[in-house]
Amino acid sequence: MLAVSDIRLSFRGVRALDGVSLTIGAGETLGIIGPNGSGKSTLFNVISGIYRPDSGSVAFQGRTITGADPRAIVAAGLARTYQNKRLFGSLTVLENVLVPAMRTQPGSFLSDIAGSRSGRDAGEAKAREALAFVGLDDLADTEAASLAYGQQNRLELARALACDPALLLLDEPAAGLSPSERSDMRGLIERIRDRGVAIALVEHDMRVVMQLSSRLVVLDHGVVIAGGTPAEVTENPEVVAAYFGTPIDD
Amino acid sequence: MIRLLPFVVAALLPLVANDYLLEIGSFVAIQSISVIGLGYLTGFAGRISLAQGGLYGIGAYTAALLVTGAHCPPLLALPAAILAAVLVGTLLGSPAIRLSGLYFVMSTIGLQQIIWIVLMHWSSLTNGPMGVREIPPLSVAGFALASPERFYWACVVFAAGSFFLARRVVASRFGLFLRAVSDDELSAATSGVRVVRTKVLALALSSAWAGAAGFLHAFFLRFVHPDMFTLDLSVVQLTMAMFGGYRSLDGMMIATLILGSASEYLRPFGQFRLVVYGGILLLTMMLAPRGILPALAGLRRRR
Repeated sequence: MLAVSDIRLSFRGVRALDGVSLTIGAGETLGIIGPNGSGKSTLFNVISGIYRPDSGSVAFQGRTITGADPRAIVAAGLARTYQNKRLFGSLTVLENVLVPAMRTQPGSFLSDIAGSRSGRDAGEAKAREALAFVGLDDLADTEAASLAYGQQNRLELARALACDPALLLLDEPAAGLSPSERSDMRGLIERIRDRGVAIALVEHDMRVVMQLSSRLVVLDHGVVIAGGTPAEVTENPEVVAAYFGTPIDD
Repeated sequence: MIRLLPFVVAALLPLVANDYLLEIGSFVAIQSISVIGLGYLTGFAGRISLAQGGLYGIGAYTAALLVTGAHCPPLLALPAAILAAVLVGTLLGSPAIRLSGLYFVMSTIGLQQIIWIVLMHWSSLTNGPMGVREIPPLSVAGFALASPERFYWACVVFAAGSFFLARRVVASRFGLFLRAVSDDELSAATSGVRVVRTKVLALALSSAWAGAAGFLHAFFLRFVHPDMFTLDLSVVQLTMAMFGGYRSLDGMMIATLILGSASEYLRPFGQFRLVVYGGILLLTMMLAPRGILPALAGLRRRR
């Protein structure tokens, strides 16, 4: 479904991604782990069209989308969340989800002006469905900026779901959550996975990653240093070295 | 209820006012159209423009030249005035709309100056510093709206129409996308919004409202001159839009009413009128940076 091959990207001489390749199959959940600064978020930014790589290619459902317009990538069925919570702060919770939900609704700016409600009503129904899924339907009319941290994570998720993704890129959805919120978030991601949506999951919480991912990829300094099932990866000495350093020999 | 204030004042004014006050009323109504248009940029797109007065001038000159030179019926000059303002605003503004913050403001000041220079110096087209004189009164299907009272009602109808149309625009999916873009362009794009197109449309609509207001202006004094459409006018309209408040069309209408009629009720202050005017602005910006209506709502809540 997604094939990333040999992506290289440097910022002012710093190699953020140095030949990253990975694939995600239909309905698969791929965990992407690695120390801070290893290039996980940068990789997401390349896949979702925010950064154009220096070389390499990204193919999604057989089409090359390398450096394509982010909007076209969403339209192709690839949505994402942001680690640093890029919500529309002044919009209500419902409106945040309505923005992507209106993308596929009938009507246009002019029919809205003429007073047609059909597109808007359909969009709101879809947005409310996504809000109900993440459990924010009670807060539909609250300004997004005033949400608690954990609620912002769930709103990010609802907004991405309203894009109708076939592949969802989740950038640290459990970061900053309390233990009970984490297990709620894990349950949500499981339910999304069970709907058949493929997921790429960047997450530092190992319990969450291990339980959700069928396969893991480990990034370090912009290079894939290991891959495989969760059990294989945790026993890989290179991974241990990347996280904890190498043992000192006498 | 305060949001009904401009409409109540507009409906009652002819009962009590003389021709002079009606002219002030017409002026306020005309300004409100341009201010509402500017509000698409300042309130909803988060972009501050200082070119609105110039685009207003484009509308005024297009109407004035068409009815005097080409003897075009006034109402036919309306779409032309709107179109001219939209073309100038969109063609010259859209390269700049990608810029953020101060850089966009600077480029709109440039646009404003270019418009003034063209109006002043392209004499063969605009009549240059002589201005355009002897503009006939506004007429609808041969019926002249020559008296101050008739012209006043025409302005009120236009202002009300522009206000209600703007409410539809703001409530449309475009209005939603525009607010999303002004909050976060990147996540708007990854939510499927056409970011550049949305911003250019905001610019076009804002120019259209300026053009319509300029059209009325041509029939207000029935004389246009480049010096009517300088940076000063842009600053005044920007002040009204900001004073009215963030994303509040009602607030912009009230602000235009309060500030546009200031020349009248500040009369007792004589030559210190502008000092008082400046003081009002300064106090609002300090006490109510989001505009008057949110501030009033906040006061009510505190009680």
